[in-house]
Parts: sequence; structure tokens; C-alpha cells
Amino acid sequence: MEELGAHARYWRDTLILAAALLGAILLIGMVLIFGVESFNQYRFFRFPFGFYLIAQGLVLAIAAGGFWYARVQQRLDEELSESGEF
Amino acid sequence: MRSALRFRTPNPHLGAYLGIITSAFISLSILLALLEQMGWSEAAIAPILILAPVVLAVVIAVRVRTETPEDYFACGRRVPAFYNGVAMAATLIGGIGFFAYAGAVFFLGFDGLAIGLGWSFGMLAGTVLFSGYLRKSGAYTVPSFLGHRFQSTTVRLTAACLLLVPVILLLAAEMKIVGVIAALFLPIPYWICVLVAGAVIAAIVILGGLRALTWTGNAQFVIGAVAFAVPLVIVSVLLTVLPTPQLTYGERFDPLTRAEINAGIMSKVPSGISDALPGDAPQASDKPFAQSFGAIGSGGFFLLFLAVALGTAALPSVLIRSGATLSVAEQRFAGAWAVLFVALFVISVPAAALFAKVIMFHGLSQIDPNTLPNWMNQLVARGLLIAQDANSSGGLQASELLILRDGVMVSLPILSRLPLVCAVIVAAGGISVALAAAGAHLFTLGASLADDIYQLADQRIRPESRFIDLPHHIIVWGVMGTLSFATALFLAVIGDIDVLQAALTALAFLGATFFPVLLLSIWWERFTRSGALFAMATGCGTMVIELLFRGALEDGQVGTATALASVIGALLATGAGVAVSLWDTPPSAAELGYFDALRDPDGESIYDEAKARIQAAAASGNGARS
Repeated sequence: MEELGAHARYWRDTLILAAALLGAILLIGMVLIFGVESFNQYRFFRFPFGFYLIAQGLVLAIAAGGFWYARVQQRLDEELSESGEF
Repeated sequence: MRSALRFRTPNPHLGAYLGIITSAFISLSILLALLEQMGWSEAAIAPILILAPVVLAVVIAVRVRTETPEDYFACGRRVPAFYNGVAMAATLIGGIGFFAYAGAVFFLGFDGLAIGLGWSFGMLAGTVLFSGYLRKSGAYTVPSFLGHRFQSTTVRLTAACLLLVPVILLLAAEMKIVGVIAALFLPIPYWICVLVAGAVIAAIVILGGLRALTWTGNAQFVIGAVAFAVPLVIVSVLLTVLPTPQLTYGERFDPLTRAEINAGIMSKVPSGISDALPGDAPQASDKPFAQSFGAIGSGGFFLLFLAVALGTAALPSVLIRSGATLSVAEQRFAGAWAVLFVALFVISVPAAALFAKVIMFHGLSQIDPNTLPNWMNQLVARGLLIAQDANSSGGLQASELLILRDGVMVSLPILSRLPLVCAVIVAAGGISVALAAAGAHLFTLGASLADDIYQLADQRIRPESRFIDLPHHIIVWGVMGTLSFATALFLAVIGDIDVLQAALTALAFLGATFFPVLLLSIWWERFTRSGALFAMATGCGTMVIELLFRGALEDGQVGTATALASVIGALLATGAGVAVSLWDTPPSAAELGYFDALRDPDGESIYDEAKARIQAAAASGNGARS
């Protein structure tokens, strides 16, 4: 495989990052939504666990995902900028 | 050659200002609480507490008024990420989230969480997929971005026209909620409240555009957050000892389930594909809070979540703030902050709804319908609750208690026997956030009318006016603002809309019409202008068909069928866009150049660079002539 230029690499990583983050959250969301009744058999801090995961767990994961994304993407930007291409 | 980033300094005292506003609001609340204990009546307290934040917003708007286009449309591109995030969250949550979403969670319990989940995920998706690239583009509006991306005025005009419908719906919904809540506490009729709200947001938007919206929005969001948190924390301490409702409402699940069984609430089975959301007329709560998928099936829940997420990601009133930050990276952090604020709100709402339900239904069957307790009489007097012993059993049942959806948040402090000032605080905070959101929607409409429609027409006549210059356009802008404002006024005063349903219809429409076209135009270089036009037309067409059939099929109610239509519309639009683009001739070099420039995270925004280039050329041209 030929060596990718800095910009092509940047763009590939950006795509992977966006798809991985949104895809992962969507997948987790689907598992939690369709499996909520089986999670509800358990208790977590006296919450029904499935309820807790939808009402708080997933929402906080989304919020953490936002900051993680902004940071990783910024690092990708900096790598591109240092490579001097473009 | 690339231009260096211009040096822009944000005001270093922003944090202090917000701190002062927060403490001033808290002090005012405490002062009025003391005065209430000393015998001041509601007629004295409510106007002060509700009008103070409104006056504050207008004062801020006057202080930051501006006439330069960059300040007016992009807040000078120097808003720190945190504050832009606050303003984005305020736009998304608005009065709809503060009152109607809380009420929906009260009635639907678990099933209502789909909307909040959709907001959080949509905000994240918008940040990841669109926001940074729109910042790089630097276009003042979403249609303007699409127009530049495809080098096409047709695309720009189509997008601008399609954008008007959902944004007007959102604006009307926010203004209606301001009127409804204000009329509960002020001795003024509903229609005057709506008119005043319209005048206030028009004044803010006309004075300072996005700049005024940013700073009033921050102040209003902070006031809203305090107003949401204070009564909730007090109730949490009363019920669960700890002041952290989000962590402790779990222990109230069992008492709530017992109270619900005693009040006659049985577990429910969803009706099928078209499960509707609770409407805005007073209604009985008939679904256990913790039961999953009682009112909305699991498929409907997922569709609702997805539709709200798509619509939120493509919400022009939020995306229009993409140009306001210092850099592309900063804009991504602004999005992250916005997601965090939305998430904090979304995890707090179920606590408030559950507390309200626990208190309301606890010991309900022992209440004598002829001698209602004091808190219930207060709610009844305000029209927040209708209690009648319909079956003459001598006790009250859940089915005999009709509750106003949008009044649940205001009812919580009254239910909890807190001083009346607490209810007024909630109302004042909610009205503040609703005004912030309404202002953002009005600005989005106005900016689109001015920059996309008027500016294009003007360019035909005077080719030299490629970039909007405000002093020349301000009169036109005022007319446009007034027009859209009048439309909203018409909807809010004469037309009767359900705010939650209007907001969800708007989001469904945006998800089907704008999400696919934005996604493809930013992430796919082969996307062509006919592809964009077909994608928008397909998405919009699907929603129009859904709207036409809605009345016939499901009693005019918005619910999972709307969400389904939105998701199908988005898929069809994506398919149509891809198919037409592949069939079409490949995009021109100018379009590809724009697409590549979007991908360069460094440097000035494309819009500003082009503007600087043209101004420099004009200046040298003038120099040569003289």
C-alpha cells in the first residue's frame, strides 16, 4: 500500500473518528433501548438499572464523548498543521 | 499564501459578569422570599421577579448593540467556547424543554426520555458532523453555506425558503410558552404577554443580532439554570435528605410505584405505530413512571430518539452559532460544552418529574374531594390542575386529577408547600430561557431573509454588493424581522398550537430536509447541486405528505408516526441525493476547491478570506483609477 500524504491521512482519521464515535453511541443506545427491560431486573443506587442507563448513563456518555472528540480532533489538526502540507 | 489568524480578544470579565448576574438573581429571589414572609402579595412579587430578567436582557442588548456585519451575524468571531456552548444549549432547550419536556416526562415517565436523549445525541452529532466545518466556511447562515458550497443561488434560495417553515414553528412555540407561563402569574392576559415577548426579542435581535443574542442568551440561561435547580434541590433535600436530586431520586421509585397503584394507575400497553405524545390540555396521568414502553413502544421510542437527534443536529438556530467562535477547534469545544449543558438539563428533568408525581399521588385516595388540601386548591385556582370526584367514590383517583402538561415544573414548588416565590422563580427562569431560544429562532429567520433572500436580490441589481453591509440593509432587516415576528404573533395569538407537537414537527422536518443535504455536502465531494436540490425536495416532500395524511390517519396528533416519517424522509433524501449526484455531471473545480478548503482546519474562514480578497482588489482598483 502506498504511503498516504499527511492530508489524506488526516482526512481518513477524521472520518474514522466521527464514524466510530457516533456509531458507538448509536449502537450502545440501541442495546440499551431494546434491552432496557432486562437491565431493569437489576438495581443501581436503588434506580431500576435500565431506567438509570437511559436517563443518565447514556446521556453522560454522550457528554463525555463530545469533549473526547473535540480533544482528539484537535490533536489530529495539530499533526496536520505540523506536517506543513496544504 | 495563507493569512494569519486575526488577533481577537474576548472580554476578560465575562465570567465575572455572569457571576454577578447569577448572584443578583439569587439575591433578588431571597429578598422577595423574605418580603413574601412579611406579607407581600403575589401581585407585588411576581412582576418584579419575572420582569427583572427581561429588563436585564434588554439592557445587555442595548450595551452590546452593533452595526458591523461581522459582529451582527457572527458575534465578531471571538466568543469563547464555553459561552457559545451556553448559548447553543439555551437555544436548543428553550421554554419547550423547560416546561413542555418536563411535563411530557411527568406523563410518560421513562418513555418521554427519548426526546431528551435525542437532544443530547443530536447536539453531539451536529458538533461532530457539521459545526467545525461550518465554522471554517464562515457563512452567516446555513442556506448561505449551501449556496457557497455548490456555487449556486438556486440551492441557497431553496434552502432559505425550506428553512422558514420549521423555524417559524419553533419561534411560535417558544413565544406561546412565554405567554402561557407569564399569564399564570401576571395580572395580564395571555395575548399581551405574547406581544411583549415578541417586542422584547425583536428589540434584542435588531439591536445586536448574534452578538446581543450571545450575551443575553448567556445571562438568560444562567438565570434559567438557577431557577430550575433551586426548587429542585430544595425538594430533593425535603424528600431524600441529599441536595443532589439526580443521584438520589432513585430511592423514590418504590414509594412512587406504591402511590401510583393506590391512585389507580395500572401498567399500560402501547397502542401501536402511532403513539402520540401528551397534548397541552389538562389530562390525567395514566402510565406508571418507571414502566418502560407503556405509552410508546420500543420501536417508537428509538424512532423518536433518532428523529429528534437528526432534527437537532441540523437545527439552523444552533448551527448559525457555528461562526461565532475563534477557530475551528474552539467551535468543536463549544459544541462539547453545549452537549454537556443539555445533558445536565436532561438528567435533571426526570428527577423533577418524579418528585412532582410522588408528592402529588402520595395519599391521593385519602383526600376528601369536598375539602381539597391547600396546595391542591392553589393549583386548581391557577388552572394547573382540575380535581373532581367523577365517580362520586368519596376519594380521588389518578384519573380524576387532570394536570396541565406545561405547568408541571411550576406546580412542583407549590405541591411541595414551598413559598409561592419558588414557583415564580421557576416561571421567571423558564421565561428567560424561552426568550433566549425565541430570539435565536427569530434571528435565524431574519438572517436568512436578509442574507440569503434580500442580499441575493440586491446582488442582481448592484453586483458590487457581494457581502452584506449592515447600515444599508438595516431597514430591510427590520421589515423582515417584523414580518416573521408578525407570523409568529399570528400563530401564537390566533392559531392555537401545541408547543411540544409544534417543536417536534419542526425537528422532524429539519431532520428530513436539512440533515441529509448537510451531511452529504460536508462529507462527500461527489455531491452535486442537483443532488442537493433533489435531496432537499425529497425530504421536504416526505414530510409534507406526512403532514397531509396526519389529520386523516392519527387524529392530528404528533407522535411516533411523525418520527417514522422523518427518519424515512432522511433516508430517502440521502438516497435521492446520492443517486442524482452520481447520475449528474461531476462537480466543478470551484465546488471541489470549496470542499477541500472546508477540510483545512487552520486559517481564516473561507467567507472572511474571500471578503478580504475582494475588498483588497476593490481598494487597489480605486487606487489605480484615482
